Amino acid sequence: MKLIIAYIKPFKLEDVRDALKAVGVSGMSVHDISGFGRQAGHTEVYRGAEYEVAFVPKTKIEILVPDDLVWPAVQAIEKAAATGEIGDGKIAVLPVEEVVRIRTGERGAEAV
Amino acid sequence: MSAAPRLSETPSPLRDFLERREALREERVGDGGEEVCRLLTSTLDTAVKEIAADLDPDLTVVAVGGYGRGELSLFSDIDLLLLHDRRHLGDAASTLFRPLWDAGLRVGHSVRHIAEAAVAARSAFDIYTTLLTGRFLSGDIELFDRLHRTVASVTRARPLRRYLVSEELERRRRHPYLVMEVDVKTGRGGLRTLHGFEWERRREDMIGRFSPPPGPEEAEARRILLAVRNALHATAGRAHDTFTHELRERAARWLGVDTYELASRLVTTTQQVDRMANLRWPELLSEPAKKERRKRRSRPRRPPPGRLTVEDLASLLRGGEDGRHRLAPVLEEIVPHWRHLLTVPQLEPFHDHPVVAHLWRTVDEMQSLVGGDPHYAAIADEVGSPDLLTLAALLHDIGKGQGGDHSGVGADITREFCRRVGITGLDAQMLEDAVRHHLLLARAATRRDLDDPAVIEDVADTVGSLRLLQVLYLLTVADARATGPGVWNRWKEVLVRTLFLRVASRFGAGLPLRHGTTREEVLAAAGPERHREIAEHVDALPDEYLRSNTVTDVLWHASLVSDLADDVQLDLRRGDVADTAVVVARGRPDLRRLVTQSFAANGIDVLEARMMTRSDGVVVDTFRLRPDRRSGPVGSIQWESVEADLRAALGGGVDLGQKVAARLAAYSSVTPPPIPPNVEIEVGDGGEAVVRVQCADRIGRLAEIVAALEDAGLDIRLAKVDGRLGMAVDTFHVRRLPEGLSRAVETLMAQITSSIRP
Repeated sequence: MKLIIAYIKPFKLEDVRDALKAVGVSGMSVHDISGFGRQAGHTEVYRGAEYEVAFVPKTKIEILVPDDLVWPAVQAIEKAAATGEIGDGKIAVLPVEEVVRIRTGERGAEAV
Repeated sequence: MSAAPRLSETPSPLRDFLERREALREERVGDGGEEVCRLLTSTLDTAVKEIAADLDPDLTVVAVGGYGRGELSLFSDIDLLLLHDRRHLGDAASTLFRPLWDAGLRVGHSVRHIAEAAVAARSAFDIYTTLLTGRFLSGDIELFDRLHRTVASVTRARPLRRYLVSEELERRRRHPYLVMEVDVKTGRGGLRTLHGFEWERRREDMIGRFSPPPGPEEAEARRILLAVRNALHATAGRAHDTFTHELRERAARWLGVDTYELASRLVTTTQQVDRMANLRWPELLSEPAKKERRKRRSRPRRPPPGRLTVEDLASLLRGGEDGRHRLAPVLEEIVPHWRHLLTVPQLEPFHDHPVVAHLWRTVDEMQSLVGGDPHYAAIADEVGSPDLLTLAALLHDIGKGQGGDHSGVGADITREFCRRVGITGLDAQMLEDAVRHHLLLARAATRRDLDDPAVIEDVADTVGSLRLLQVLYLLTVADARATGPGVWNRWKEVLVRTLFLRVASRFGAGLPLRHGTTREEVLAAAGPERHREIAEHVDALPDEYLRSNTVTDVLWHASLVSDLADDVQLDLRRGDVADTAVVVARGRPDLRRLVTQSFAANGIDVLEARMMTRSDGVVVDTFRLRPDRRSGPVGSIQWESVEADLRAALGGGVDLGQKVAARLAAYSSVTPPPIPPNVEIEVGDGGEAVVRVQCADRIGRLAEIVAALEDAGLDIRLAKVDGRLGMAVDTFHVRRLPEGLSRAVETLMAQITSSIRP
């Protein structure tokens, strides 16, 4: 089992969700976050006043997947989240020791 | 915590009660409300009387609180008073209460001497109201009568109404607007308000006054609230009184109705309870509003819709609880389905309020935007009509509950609304468009790529004007803030603001706001001694000059022109956000190139420029200067250096192009990837043209573009300089193109493009 964490552009969330569904991933957690990487902030001007956005809004998704779904899921996110522009985001894959479904007490891959 | 006792271990009198409660959890009786309460109450009465049979007959058991009122819900607390008039009770309390505790019931127990009951009723309102609805269960009836007389004697001295109103106000303070996840027992619009009505009636009865029985509306509200309370208890398996998102569906199933239908009934009921409280206790409505009402008594309280002004409507909307209370019947006349709207719930978990409460809150949020955060307040100021904004807030979700796309339906309703209240022309169109597109910015900001110029262009095309964009922006913020916690946060604020600023920039709002002036205004301000000088100055410039400058600006520029002894006059004024420089000079082909180069050579970045030429060839150019990120505003030595460089360059003594190139080389440690410049030219019917240049921004870029245009033989009339994300996006309005050039725009574009480095 693996935990996949991806940081994507907010407007790509629906595309990523659909792509993950298509490869068999049925659930995800979504967080609104802000940050910066190579894509620094930006400045907008309105009536001569500057508005600086130092931290760019991003969306963080987390999904737990069994081992056989890890790479299809990563590829699905990669393809769906890409615009080719700077700031498309990152995907991290982390090992998971154990998963428990609280309602049923199932453990391991069955709980994913 | 000990485990719940097994039913078989429970004493038989209570076993019947527990079995009945379990059966009712499984399947309701009747409508799930009063009948369930009656059954539970009567079953428990039997059990308690059986237990109390073991007590001495001079002790009295009284059902108080909800149990006393016969409003026992499935998992309600069981409030019992053991009343006595003697010194020692022995183990009576244990005899009465222990079986109830052992059965796992939550017991609100009290043991009082008759004299203590009187003291407690005098000292605490909650005890007093509990005793008001006390019901005799067993023991000495004479003692119960003494309690009744004691409570009655206390009653005359108790300002019950003031207490009830303060309790109601506290509920309204906690929930200024009705909520979807209502606490049906103690929340706003819930049973506790109806209990207040009941307590008042009991009080009137006690002191021998007539009190009318509850009307059908109150009885219906009580019936529905009790049914929902029982449904919540049944599905949660405990005393859970809040209509939470998680329990709605199961509660509706227990009651045998659709979730939407149940939510709708509850929304309608809580609003009715609220309204009944307003009518019964008018002092609930705010003091300032009451004063306002007194002032208006000479005017009709409810003018017919046709005679309502927009100001009337907006003023009522801004009048808090009182204003809304008085506006409700007016809205019923203006908006045909307003009554239906009062019944429309919002089931999505992010919605805190039913539709109408959300509309009220959006109006208030709009108010706080208009008079709050300087960013939003400045935009509201530009819109220039707080009443229009207030009405947009009221109407934005008016199409809900009608089926179909509520924005489109709402726009149609808004059109009719405007017709009925006499809003016409641009304001009517603005309101209709605001309702139609009120979700546009929020959706585009979160679902579309804001770095894609086509998205910005698309939103700009849909909106069509800066003013509507401004209205939509404020409406988006007010709507989100009024929806529920977490809907409006910093994350969303940044996205929506970025979209707004980029689309606004597309409408030219990067430029500072100028309210403009008129010839008459300027001449009046100039006074007779400067009348001729100012008139000549104004008449020598295009109309746009007055539209884009203030009276102070015009007088300032005219002074510089009259002082123009040599080739150039420069002046700098400090501003809150950016400094403004004015250059007045006798025209020459390379003038603007040299001016912009002198800025660039001295590290001054131009935020925007307005370039205008008088009919006598004198240029009057205004530059807003971007403060240096590190050193702040333009320094006086820096400005002197600009002036010296420009004068020297005009005299041929210095090559500013070389100075700019040297600065560019010194500061550009990283060479950005080359981006080919994009030049577009649109030629108007009169031969005037607009040149739009988009290229990578860097030191001296404006000077380079200006030089390219001057080299191509173009006479710049007006320039709008803008930039974002490392790109310069500059627009130049040029005077009538020479005959040859206007026929060869493609060639001209190619020539300018080739002069601008990628």
